[in-house]
Amino acid sequence: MLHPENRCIKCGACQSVCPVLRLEGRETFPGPRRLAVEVSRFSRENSTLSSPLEMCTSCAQCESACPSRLPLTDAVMLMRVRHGARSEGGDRMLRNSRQFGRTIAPVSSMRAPSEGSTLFFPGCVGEARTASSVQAAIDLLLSTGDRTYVPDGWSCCGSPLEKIGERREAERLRSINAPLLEAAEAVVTACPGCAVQLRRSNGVEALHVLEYLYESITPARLRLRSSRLLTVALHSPCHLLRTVGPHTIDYARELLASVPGLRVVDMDDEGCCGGGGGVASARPDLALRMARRRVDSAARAGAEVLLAPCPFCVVNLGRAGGVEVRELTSFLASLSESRS
Amino acid sequence: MSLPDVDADVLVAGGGAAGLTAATRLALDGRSVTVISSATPATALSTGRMLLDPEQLEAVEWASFFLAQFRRQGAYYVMSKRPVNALTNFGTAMKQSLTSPLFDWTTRDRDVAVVGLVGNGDLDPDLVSREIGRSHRVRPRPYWFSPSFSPELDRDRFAEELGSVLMNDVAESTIVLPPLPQRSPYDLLAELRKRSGKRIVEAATPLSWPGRRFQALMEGTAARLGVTVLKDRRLMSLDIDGREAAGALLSSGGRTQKARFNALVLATGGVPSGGLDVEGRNVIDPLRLFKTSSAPSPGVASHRLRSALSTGIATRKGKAVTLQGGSLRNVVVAGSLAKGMSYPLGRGLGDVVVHAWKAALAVEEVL
Ligand SMILES: Cc1cc2nc3c(=O)[nH]c(=O)nc-3n(C[C@H](O)[C@H](O)[C@H](O)COP(=O)(O)OP(=O)(O)OC[C@H]3O[C@@H](n4cnc5c(N)ncnc54)[C@H](O)[C@@H]3O)c2cc1C
Repeated sequence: MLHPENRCIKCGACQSVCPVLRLEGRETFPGPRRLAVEVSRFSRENSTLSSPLEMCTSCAQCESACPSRLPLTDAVMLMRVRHGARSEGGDRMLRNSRQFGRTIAPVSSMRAPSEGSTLFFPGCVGEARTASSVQAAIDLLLSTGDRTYVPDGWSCCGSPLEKIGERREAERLRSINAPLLEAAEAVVTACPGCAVQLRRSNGVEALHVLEYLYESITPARLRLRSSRLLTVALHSPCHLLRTVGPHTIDYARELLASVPGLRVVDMDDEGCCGGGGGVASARPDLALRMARRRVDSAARAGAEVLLAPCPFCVVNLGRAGGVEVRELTSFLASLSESRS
Repeated sequence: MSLPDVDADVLVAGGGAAGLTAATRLALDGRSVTVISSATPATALSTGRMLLDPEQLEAVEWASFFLAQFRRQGAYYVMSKRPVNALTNFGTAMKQSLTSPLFDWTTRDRDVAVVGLVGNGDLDPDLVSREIGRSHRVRPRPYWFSPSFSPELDRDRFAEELGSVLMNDVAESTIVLPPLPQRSPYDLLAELRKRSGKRIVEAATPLSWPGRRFQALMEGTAARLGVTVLKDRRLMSLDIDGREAAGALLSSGGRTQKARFNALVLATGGVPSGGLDVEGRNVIDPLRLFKTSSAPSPGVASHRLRSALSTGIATRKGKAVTLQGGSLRNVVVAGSLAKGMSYPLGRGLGDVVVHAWKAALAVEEVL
């Protein structure tokens, strides 16, 4: 890995965009430059860092602001591992992974064919926490005539385990998924984190469901319509926008704009929901404060529904209350004429 | 399966001052223009105030167009015939010709207070007071003020509170404040002036707000003229056909996307922005397509620094020259990517926008 400390030009762009630093202040959270770049130089202060390290939501806003394009998020995750800053949540994930092949014990299973051509990868959080959304996405794809399926025996993509430094377990999971993924013609998932990890570790062209809907199914074939005038706001999930790619948000906007009866409003505050990077389990108070900011912003904009194309965001934003939060694809599914 | 192609008359790579200037001028001529941009540009790291030569036709053209556009977005910049002083957060003065009447700093001021805001790291009143005391004849007095309201979240109460502190608790008549991190702080500063009855000077902070505001104003102007700005996209490679660039490959996150255009403006900035790369002792084109060359740079002793500052993409009549030595007829270089345009060798933003304003004409010739 590149050593960020050697190429940092100290411009502070990362510090000024960090949503945790902005919300919590410098005394509580010293920011990405300190954690990713300077810590490795001033290692004596390490003992005071475990708490700030667990506050990083891995939103990668720092990384996309960095003129030197330093891998700041990976560097923070690496520091976490070095510090042994493992939360209870991390231990639970590892136990579940060893027992079930999932980081969360599965509570339901999807109603979907087990063979076909488009492999739908539910993901651990998708399956356990937003099962009805995943089901709706699968049903939407099937309703367009797509040969969507969920293979038996899939396991976690490995991303959360890599992030807590459990490389061997992540590798075990990768090899379980490998033959399943290789047999598929296309791989689709509603979880941005899974999409990125399956690309990186399994080398497959995994697509986020929005990419698949827009590029392969195309908006025209979805035939979407809202039966009543509805005002919605779109949350841009960090891992979707910055890691899967900014084109996904353009797709989401275009898909929504194509629906008669929908009005999409802009929020005055863009940013992270607070649920990523293990923050939701390690620091639920912080995750909730961040979620509130987003939900309040949606309410101020007059939105009746806040849409998020990511299961992590849906769960975390949903905690804040105030405005109804829905997973984007399942919301689109509810507007699909081909279903009803 | 692939992402839909980007199609435009002109593709501009790099969304700093140079790219946005060229894009805006081409859009004014009715061209369809797409700007792709990634990371924080040097433009947003600069002080955002610039030195323009009022005798130079293109500088005046640039200023009269953009300043009117900035005003429409609530910012009151003016171009002064003679450079005025602005004050940095180190307490040093810097010459500017494009600035706001709210920001001018003159040594005529006799009784000056420097007011730091707790929580705003951009200005240390003790440091600035000391430095001003050293270089000017005034002895400013430092104050710290701890606002109960954030200017971002509750602008009105912030203004009310700070205005009354400045009027009642600060004796001096000229007040230096740190930059207020707002998209349009001009009306806030004007209001503070009115509430306190004092002269307010905002210090310029490299790496912070004034530059980001300037960047936002440039982006706003481009958008108003119908320029498409695609953020977080990178130019990965060019498809070269004889003496022309026939297309480009862009990245969006983990995917790639093709772009088609009639002309390409390369405005990806200098070494700090990644438009140029350092390899050993040499400065190279990260795409490894274009030749670099150096402008004479007297007075810079360090070889490394000299080559970083003086090297840029080699051009012939403004067109980029490839490693093979020929120039590409539809690829125009603009801004700090060009040789001799790097700050502080060039004069920074002022030279960059003039260079890009002219580059747009070179693009028109090939369309
Ligand atoms: C710290 C600092 C302080 C400065 N202070 C001053 C000052 O006080 N006064 C002054 O006049 N000037 C100052 N300057 C100089 C001034 O900021 C620059 O000369 C000017 O902003 C350069 O503008 P540009 O458009 O050429 O490049 P930039 O503003 O750097 O824009 C280039 C953009 O292209 C992007 N890019 C790079 N590669 C690619 C790619 N492959 N694909 C897509 N996008 C890409 C970069 O990320 C960047 O966003 C300062 C510069 C710095 C760094």
